[in-house]
Amino acid sequence: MSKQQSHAGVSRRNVLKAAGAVGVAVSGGALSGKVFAPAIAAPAPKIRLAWGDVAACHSPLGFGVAKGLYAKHNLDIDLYPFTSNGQTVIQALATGKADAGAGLIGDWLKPLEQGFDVKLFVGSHGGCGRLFASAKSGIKDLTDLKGKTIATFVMGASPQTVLQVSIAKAGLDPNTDVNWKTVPFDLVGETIARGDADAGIHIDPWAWSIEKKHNLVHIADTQTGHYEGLTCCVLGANGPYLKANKDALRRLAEANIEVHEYTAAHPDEVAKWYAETLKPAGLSIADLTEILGKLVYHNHPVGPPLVEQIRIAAEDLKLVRVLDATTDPKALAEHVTVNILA
Amino acid sequence: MSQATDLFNAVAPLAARPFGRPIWTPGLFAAASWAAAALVTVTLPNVIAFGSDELFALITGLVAIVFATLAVARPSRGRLRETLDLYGPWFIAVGVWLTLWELTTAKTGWLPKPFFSAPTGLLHVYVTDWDRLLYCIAYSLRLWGLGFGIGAVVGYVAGVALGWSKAFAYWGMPILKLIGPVPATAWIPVTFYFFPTTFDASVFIVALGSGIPVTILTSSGIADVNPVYYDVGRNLGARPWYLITRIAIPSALPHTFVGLFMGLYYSIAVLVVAEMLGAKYGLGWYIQFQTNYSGYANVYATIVIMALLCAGLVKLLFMARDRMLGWQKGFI
Repeated sequence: MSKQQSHAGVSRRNVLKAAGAVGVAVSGGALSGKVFAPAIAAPAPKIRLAWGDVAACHSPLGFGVAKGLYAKHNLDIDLYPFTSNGQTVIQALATGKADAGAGLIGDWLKPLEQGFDVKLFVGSHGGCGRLFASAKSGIKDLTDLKGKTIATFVMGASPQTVLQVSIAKAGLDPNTDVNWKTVPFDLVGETIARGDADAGIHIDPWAWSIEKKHNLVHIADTQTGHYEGLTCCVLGANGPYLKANKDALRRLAEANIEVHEYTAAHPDEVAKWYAETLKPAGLSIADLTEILGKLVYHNHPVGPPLVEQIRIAAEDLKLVRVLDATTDPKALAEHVTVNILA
Repeated sequence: MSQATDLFNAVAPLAARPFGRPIWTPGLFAAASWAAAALVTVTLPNVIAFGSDELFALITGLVAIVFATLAVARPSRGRLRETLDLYGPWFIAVGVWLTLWELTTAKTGWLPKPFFSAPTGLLHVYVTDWDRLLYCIAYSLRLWGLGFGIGAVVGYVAGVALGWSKAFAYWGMPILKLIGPVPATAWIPVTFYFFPTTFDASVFIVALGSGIPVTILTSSGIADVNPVYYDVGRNLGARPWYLITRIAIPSALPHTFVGLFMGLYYSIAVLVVAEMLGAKYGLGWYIQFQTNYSGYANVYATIVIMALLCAGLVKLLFMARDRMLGWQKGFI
């Protein structure tokens, strides 16, 4: 942590001021006033927050902790990293290694359907998964993927679970109409370039640099198409922790919204922190600024809009036969969310 | 006093033998434990709803009725009678197990979520996803059948050749000794480049998994044949082909079957791993797919299917062995 804090520049005060202004604008003056009042008196409650340090879209979380944006909301955030794989965030919360976590909606819903005691409370950000194809494969859109081979870095990688919904929506069976091929994490681009796969999936910032380096055709991502306007990553908290620390989680939701709005306004600052701290894919600050600048941060639903987005995600998961045919998406969405700002 | 004793002596046998037969006590307990599972499922409220509660209660209730009926009207002899006598304690244990399982998961949520699923949850998976599971079973059996079949045939031929021919053994044995101990799964990364499709590569790996134990044991079986048999055969004018087919192969068959059993277990283990690497369907694929979404009930339900399938295949192989080696009863 001390290493990350050393990055706080001279303009920290201004940064915080600006961030505060955004936060106030978002969460409403009256509400934030109410929230900030006890913050001075009580010591900051500790929240162990699971995050996917490998994905570009999660970088605002690490940035927010390093720059004290969460601390400003009187929260002591302890980041618990998981890899880009849906089970790890579930396991981190289920085994009590983390109190709250940021995970794909698609990863949360199946265990929640089966009684996992976690409540989702705030949408975090849009997705950073991409599907791309080589020019010579002739793939122009999702329907062209029929019979083609798609490289993935692990079976069930997060962009795979999300984008197979897109493939299903294009009328293909994501299991039988395409061939998934597992290749090492950093060889997805090379596999396509060599012609061993027609297409591939990855997450930013890797996906971005693979597309650029190998001059690939961008087919789909988790921000456009039917994912337009939908949040990809949602914060969830363990049930017992939520009962005991509802106030802290309310501040976490507000801080999280503020952090993402701040990132939208200052992608360069987040990119600088991201490049210096995690050195992803050997990319430059300018590249990371471009990547982060393109991601969606304004989409962080709470309450009824969150329920609606989870209902849509549940419908999608029924389409790819992950959720039970007998599950009612609306009832599930209402059951697994908590209106934290209400 | 003596009147009471007389009465007791008259009634006691009736109470113990209501239909003129002794009561099967384990059956009564089994009925009670299965009925408890049904009652727990329908009467207690769910903490976690896994679905298919009514069906589960219906099935366990029916099983309880069957046990209760058998307890008072059990056949006096025959195979059913033997099975009931043998497995009575197991029937009780399974009922108790189901009751406790349902209690600790769906009814109280004591066991850690979402890793533990209720028996109703597993049943619900079969109810809602049976078509896809059947597909997966068919896919797995096809892959396993092809792989195991090819592996067994090639392994058997190679084993006979290695055990019979000195020249073959000279060149083949060192290779077998080198490749044999390497787990078939270790070949996965390379095979996927050598073979045009994932399916071909998977068949190869399954064949390798079953073929190597068959080869090793067949060749050692053939090499272990008592040379006196051959001498006797030659004295009677037998040619090498006759010696192989009539002496070497039959006497090596017990070894070959041990190889087949080892190969069967090993090939199924390999099959699941191979299917997790990009198969279209199959039980291994299904487990992988559901694990990615943390669908643990589906994973358990598939593991149960896999265990039953494996046990069924082993049973089949035992039946084949008993048939082919009937002449060796008491011999091996």
